[in-house]
Amino acid sequence: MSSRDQALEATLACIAAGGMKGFTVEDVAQEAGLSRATLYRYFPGGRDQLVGETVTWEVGRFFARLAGAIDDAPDFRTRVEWGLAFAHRSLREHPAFQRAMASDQGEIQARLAGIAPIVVGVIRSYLEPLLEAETLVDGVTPTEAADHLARLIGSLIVDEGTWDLGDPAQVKELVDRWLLAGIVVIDLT
Amino acid sequence: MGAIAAGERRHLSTGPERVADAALACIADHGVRAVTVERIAVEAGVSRASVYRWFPGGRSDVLLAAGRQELDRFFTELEPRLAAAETLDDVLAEGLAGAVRFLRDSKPLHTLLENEPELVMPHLAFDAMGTAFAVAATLAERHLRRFLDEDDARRATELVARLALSHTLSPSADLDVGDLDAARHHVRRFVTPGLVPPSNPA
Repeated sequence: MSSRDQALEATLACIAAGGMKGFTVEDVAQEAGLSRATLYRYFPGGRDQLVGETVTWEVGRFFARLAGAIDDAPDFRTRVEWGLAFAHRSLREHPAFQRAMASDQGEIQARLAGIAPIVVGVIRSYLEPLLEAETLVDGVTPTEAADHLARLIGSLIVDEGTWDLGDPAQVKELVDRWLLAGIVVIDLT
Repeated sequence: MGAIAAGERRHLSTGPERVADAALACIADHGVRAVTVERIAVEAGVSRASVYRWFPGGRSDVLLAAGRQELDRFFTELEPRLAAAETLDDVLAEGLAGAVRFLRDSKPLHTLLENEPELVMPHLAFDAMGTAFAVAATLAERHLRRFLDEDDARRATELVARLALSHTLSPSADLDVGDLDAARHHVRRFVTPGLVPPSNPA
C-alpha cells in the first residue's frame, strides 16, 4: 500500500473510532505510521482535504467490492437485486459509514452529495455495457437507461428511505416494478 | 394555504414567519453568510431574545426555517398544476419538472445547498428526518391517489423526489428533466411502466 493509501486507510479507521470530527491530522499520522510532514505534503489542504479524499477513495473501493460480489449473477435483473442487497449488508457493517451516519449525518451526506456526479458516473459506466447485451424495451437506449438506473441506485444505496433493502421481497418489487419495468423486457408469467 | 401574495402575507404573518421572510430576503440580497441572528432580528423588527425563543438552535434553525418557507412556496405553486394534471404521467411529470426547476431557480435553496450542505442535506433525506420529502409526500399522494393505491403513491413520490435531487446534484448534459415535456417523456418510459399493467392503458 502506498503512503498515500496508508493515510486514507488510517483516516477511515479514525472516522470509525471517533466520527468525522473526532480526530486530528496528528491522529491519522500516528495511525498510519507516517510523519505529519508527509501527510501535509500529500494533503496540503489539511484535514478537510484528507477527509474528502478518504470518502471518495472508499466510495470507489466500495463499488469495486460490490461489482466483485455480483460478478457471477445469472442475469441482469438478478445482478441488480444482488447489488442492492449487497450494498445494504455491506453498509450496515461498514464501521466508518455507520459511525459517520450516527454522529455526523449532515457532514457525510454533504460530502456524498458533493461527489454525487462521480457516484452516478461509476454506476453508469458499470451498467452501460451490461445493458448493451440485454433486450431492452423498444426505444430505450443503453445510455439513457444506465443513467436513469445509476441515479436511482446511487440514491437508494446511500439512503433507503421507505425501502428495506434487507428484505428480499422488497428488493424484488423495487427491481421489477420500479427500476427495470420500462427498461428490460421481463417475462412476468 | 392558498396563494397569498407576499405583501398580504406580511400583514398576516406571525413573528417566526417574519423572521423566516427576513432570512430569505437577506439570503437573496447578501447571501447565506450574511445571515446572523442579530441582523435578522433587526430586519424582522423583533428582539434577539424572541428569535432565540422561536429558534432555539439560533442561526441554523433560522436558516432551516427560511428553507422550509421557500419549500412551502414551491408546494403552493405546484399544487394547482398537480390538480389540473389529467393523467398519472402528467402528475408525476409536473412534480419532477417543478422540483428540478425550483431547486435550480430558487436562489435561497440553491445557496443554502451550496453553502450549508451539512445543515440542509439531512432534511432532504428520504428517511424519517427528511422533512422536505415528508411534505412532498403529503402533497403528491393527495393527487396520486386518483391513480394509485397508498403504497404505490408514496413510492412513486419517493422515486420522483430521488430523481429530482439526483438531477440537481448531478445535472445531465443530455436530459433536462426541468423541461415539462422531457419530464413527461422520461416518466412515461422509466417510472410508470411498472405501475400500469400493459393490459390497462391509463
